[in-house]
Amino acid sequence: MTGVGENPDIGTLVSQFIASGDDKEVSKEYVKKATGLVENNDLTLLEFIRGLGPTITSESDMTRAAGMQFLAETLSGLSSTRLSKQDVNVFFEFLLSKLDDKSCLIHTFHGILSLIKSKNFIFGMNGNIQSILSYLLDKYNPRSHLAKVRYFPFNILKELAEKNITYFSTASDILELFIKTFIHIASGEKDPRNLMISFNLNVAINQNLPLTTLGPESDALIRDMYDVCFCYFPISFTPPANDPYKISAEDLKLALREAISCQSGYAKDSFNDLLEKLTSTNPVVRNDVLKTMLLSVERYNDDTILEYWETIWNGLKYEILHNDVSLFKSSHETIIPDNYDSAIDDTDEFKPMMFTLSILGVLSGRLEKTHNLDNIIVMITQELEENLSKVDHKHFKQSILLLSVIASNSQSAFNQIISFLFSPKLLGKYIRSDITIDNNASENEIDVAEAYDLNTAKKRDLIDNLGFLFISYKTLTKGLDSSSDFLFSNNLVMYKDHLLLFLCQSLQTASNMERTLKCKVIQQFLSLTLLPKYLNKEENTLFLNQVNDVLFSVVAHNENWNDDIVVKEIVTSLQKFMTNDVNLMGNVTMVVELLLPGLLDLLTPDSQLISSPKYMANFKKTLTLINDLCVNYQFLEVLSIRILNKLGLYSELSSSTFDLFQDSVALLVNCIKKVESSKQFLLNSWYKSFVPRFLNVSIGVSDADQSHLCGEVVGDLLSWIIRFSEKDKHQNILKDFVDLFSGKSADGVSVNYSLLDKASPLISIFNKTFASIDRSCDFNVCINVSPEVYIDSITKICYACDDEYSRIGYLQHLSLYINKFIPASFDVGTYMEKIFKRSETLFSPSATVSKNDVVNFEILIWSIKGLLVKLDKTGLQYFENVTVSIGNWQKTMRHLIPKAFKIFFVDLPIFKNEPLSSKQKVISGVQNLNVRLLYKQKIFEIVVPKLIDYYLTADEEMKETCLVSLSMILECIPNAILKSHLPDILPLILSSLSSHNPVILNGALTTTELILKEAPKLAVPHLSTLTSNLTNLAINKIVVRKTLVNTADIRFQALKCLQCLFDSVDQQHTIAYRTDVLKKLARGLEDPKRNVRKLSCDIRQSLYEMNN
Amino acid sequence: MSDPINANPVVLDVSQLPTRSKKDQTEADFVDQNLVRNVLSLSFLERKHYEEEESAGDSGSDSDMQISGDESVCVDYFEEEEEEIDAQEIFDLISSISDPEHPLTLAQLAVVNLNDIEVKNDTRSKNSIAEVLIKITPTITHCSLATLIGLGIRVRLERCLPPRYRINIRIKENTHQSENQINKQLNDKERVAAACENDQLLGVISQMLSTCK
Repeated sequence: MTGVGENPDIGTLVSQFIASGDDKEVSKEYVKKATGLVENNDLTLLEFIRGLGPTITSESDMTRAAGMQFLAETLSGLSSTRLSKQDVNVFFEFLLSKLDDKSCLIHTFHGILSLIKSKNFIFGMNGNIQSILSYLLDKYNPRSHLAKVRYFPFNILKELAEKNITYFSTASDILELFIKTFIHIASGEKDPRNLMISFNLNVAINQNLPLTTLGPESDALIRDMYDVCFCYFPISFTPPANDPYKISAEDLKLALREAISCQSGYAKDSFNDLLEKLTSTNPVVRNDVLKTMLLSVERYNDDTILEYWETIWNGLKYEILHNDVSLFKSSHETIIPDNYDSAIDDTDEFKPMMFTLSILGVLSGRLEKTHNLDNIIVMITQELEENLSKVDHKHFKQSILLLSVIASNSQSAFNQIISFLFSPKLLGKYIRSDITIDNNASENEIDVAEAYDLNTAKKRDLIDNLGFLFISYKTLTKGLDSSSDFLFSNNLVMYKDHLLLFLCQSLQTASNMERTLKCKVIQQFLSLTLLPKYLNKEENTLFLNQVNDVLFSVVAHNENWNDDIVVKEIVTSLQKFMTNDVNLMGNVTMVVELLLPGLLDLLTPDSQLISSPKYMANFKKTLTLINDLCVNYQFLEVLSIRILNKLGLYSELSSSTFDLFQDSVALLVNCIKKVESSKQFLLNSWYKSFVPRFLNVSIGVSDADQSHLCGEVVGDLLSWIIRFSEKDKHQNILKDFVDLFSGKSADGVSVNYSLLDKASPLISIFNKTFASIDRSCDFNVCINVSPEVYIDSITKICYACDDEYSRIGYLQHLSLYINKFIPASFDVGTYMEKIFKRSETLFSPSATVSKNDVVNFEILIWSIKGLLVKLDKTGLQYFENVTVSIGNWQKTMRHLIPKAFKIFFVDLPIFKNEPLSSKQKVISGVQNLNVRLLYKQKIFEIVVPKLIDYYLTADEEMKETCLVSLSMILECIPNAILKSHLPDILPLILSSLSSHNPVILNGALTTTELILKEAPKLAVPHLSTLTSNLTNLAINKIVVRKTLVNTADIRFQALKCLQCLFDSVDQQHTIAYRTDVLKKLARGLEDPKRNVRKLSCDIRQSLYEMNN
Repeated sequence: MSDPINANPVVLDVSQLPTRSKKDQTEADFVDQNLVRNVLSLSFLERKHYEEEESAGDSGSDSDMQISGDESVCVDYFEEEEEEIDAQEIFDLISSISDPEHPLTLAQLAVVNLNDIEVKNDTRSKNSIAEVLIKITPTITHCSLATLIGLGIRVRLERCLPPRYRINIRIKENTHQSENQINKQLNDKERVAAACENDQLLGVISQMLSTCK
């Protein structure tokens, strides 16, 4: 080989190139070298040709071909400016002369292509274009060459077209030559790569060249060009496995579609040809045909569309008229779904109907521009008139659909179609009140009556179908300016009063049984209210009044009105009514003024009725309905004040109304949560306007409520309000609540006593409010005592308090205080050491435990919890101190330790925000929690391995404590954390299944189910134990010390595990247990609980099927 | 009334079928009733773990334990409330069986109806014989598949009901031309047993039962 830097002899390079043969990598190197030499002028072109001379004139075909290849590849490697005009010309002439040499044709083409790409290629110089095109047209026969040879002529034409297509429009002879050449090389092509170029060239020619200048010749040429593309339709292609060109069937389809739709002159044949292909039964083909038609209707020029509309209409109308159109629903937003092309697969047999309607819609839009649409509509309507004369005509809906689609693209068509449909002969006779039955008509009287009078089913269909016209109106007016004339004077506006009257009458005269009719009327009435500028305020009021009447008549007549489909329809309608962009504020106000009072009346407490279960049931149903209607802030705002008034009434009544109170407050909580989840808003104003009055009525109730549920929901509501109040306001809010807490009155509200003096269940309310306060706020400024004194006063109450609920409240308060309000100066280490020492007695073997000891321990655990959630070092240290000593646990600790674990792991409202559905930041900027996300995972990974180790060495009694502890932890751990530890826990779980402690069983079964779902392979070695333990739990009655161990829940869970086992473990392992389990489960069929019996049935059924 | 002829059967929507009445279920609560119980479960003082040493041995002690599979062992423990097998439960079991020729369920075709199911059960003892009587309504009076449907229902119920239940399947009066013949066939033990040994027939029945919910 020649060394770098030396000037190699070109002849040597050529010889080496020839010698390298098929090794493309190596041969490329030589070409590269030659290119480099020429590019850098190290070798003149003359020297280059001279060196190449002997090879390209060689007697041997192979050598010649190789020489030409070397030349062509070198040329293609040169930069586009390297060759001068003269050089290009010389090479071009030379290559033209070589075209007759068949053995190196492909390389000659390649060389020519490279020259055309060169910047100095001059179109028309020395007749170059003429020469190459003439050669291709007259002497080149595509059929006698391979696809890779044919590829170059396509590329030469493509390159010519891309580089300077206007050149061909300069003279008609060259234009004709170009087109003829194209037709010649494209005829009979089959290779996908070449076809892509062929279709693209077809488009380029038709879009850029003035074919009409060719005079009479042009028709024949257009026809031929049409033939070289349409003959492939519908194109189907499966790329080979090692597809080198990455051309997909879809690419080909799209390119072909573009080609067919690029020339209006194709219309002569294309529509008829396409419609003929539409007779195919294959939905993929049909969809392809219709997509191509759609594109053609969009692209062909106006005159063509006008000329062929009838062909299209006649060809397509039956696609709709003779089909099942039930999938088009007038309750939808649009007639044709917006994204139908991408959302529905081409194999879907209903998709052609969507395309058909799209085409007709586009067609009417195009025709409007030709100013001939009016006449055309007359023809179409005449054709459909028969179908529309009776509501129950089998093509009624189809015809309405067709007209609605045509109307939705043109204002004049819309007007024309509406006045046609509302004529007395057609729908007018039902809808218009200005038309009376003409009794003197010559027709048979019964027919007349029947024709004018609609039965329920017909009325329902009619109203349903009117919906399509409304959709049409909506589509038509979508982009219109709100002052547009059309909105105020169109034919649908003209018939507005008739429509309203008809709908109202239909609603009023429908009997209570005719629910679907009522639903349809409400649906379409709603549609009218949502049409832009269609109904005025009074008419909207009319709608609401009608809905109101229907709603309350259902409430009065149907005990289960909440399940009534009419009520459900009303709810969805009102939701849309209040959230639609059309007049949103006005609509909400209207609902609040017209509908809400009636609903609130249902909530009015009546001392006579309150105790009846029916009243309570109705009360809850009403709340659910109001909850459903609360879709935005505007509604919620009013609702809060109205409900607050009711709360005042409830709080004055006896304790039996606590339920009403708590449900109503819970309603507000739900509504806030729902509205904040969909669109966040600030509740600043609520703190001033709502909270003081609310506290006034709720403190007394919460204090008196023995179930404590009122306090819980009151706390929830306050915490939402605080969390959504601006961060700046939080210090003041905190001050207010601390004052209230310590017995001072704030804003006219007071608790009468300090919660630090007397244990009170109200502590839970304050815990929730303090938990929602931003963590940057200073608590200690508000209390005026040192943290030590404050903690002391809380712990004192914990010792003294007899009420469990309140005591835990104070413990939580302690935990929360330590978590986020202790000042930086507070020495956590000393404090923890002190309280840990107090509990140390519990760890000594001979301890007797007093109540104080237990409370000491509780204080320790809750303090640790407060630190642990923020993964504080001291907290983690004491957490380990408590758990590390597992080996030292004494009998007395058996009941305390598992509960401690529960407290460590459980999610508490004070350390967790209720999630909004969207993962946005809270709008108020409040960061109320001082909790690390992964704290559970961290402490889980510390403690669980220790528990497992200890279990293996512990005695029987402590083993049980381990299992109970584990169950407590498992209860509170999300599956995601648990998954990676399943293999470690498995042995403990297996032994837990034979336990007789319901707590253990509960945890074990939940985890077993998780194991079986997530890692069924782990279970395979233990199938025998698992099946026998699980069936034992499921079918036997296990009674220990006169209490039932396997309660219905445990039996159900055991069965669920069994079901999972047979579902997810490989059948080859489980088949052995089939017969046994099948037999044993027969006893489960007699279980006292229905859900257990049902699950037994289901498992047995799947076991029966197992063999098949 | 003339014979009902359902050559073009009326198909009921699934939502129209009878379901266990809502009254049996508790109303959805606005407030989670477990809120307070959850709080209380965190208390260490919940059980008297302190001061008094627990007297008896621990809960695991075997002498106190009884596992029983049948009723003769009478123990005094918290008795669970019994939910009886009733007509609705039977209906739920068989309503979702597929019709052998339509792609619909028996309930959608109104072949089985809640009113035509009768359960006779002596609630006092779980050892006595109980009986289920089901009358099926063929979609047409000459329905040749009535026996197959009956057999499907029988197989389903035999798999799903405790063995003490006797299953009696009949054609509803005046709904089939060969009512008596079919009734005999459906309740003849020997013939049912023979049919169940026919693999092909069992295959068809499996197909019918595969939609059971």
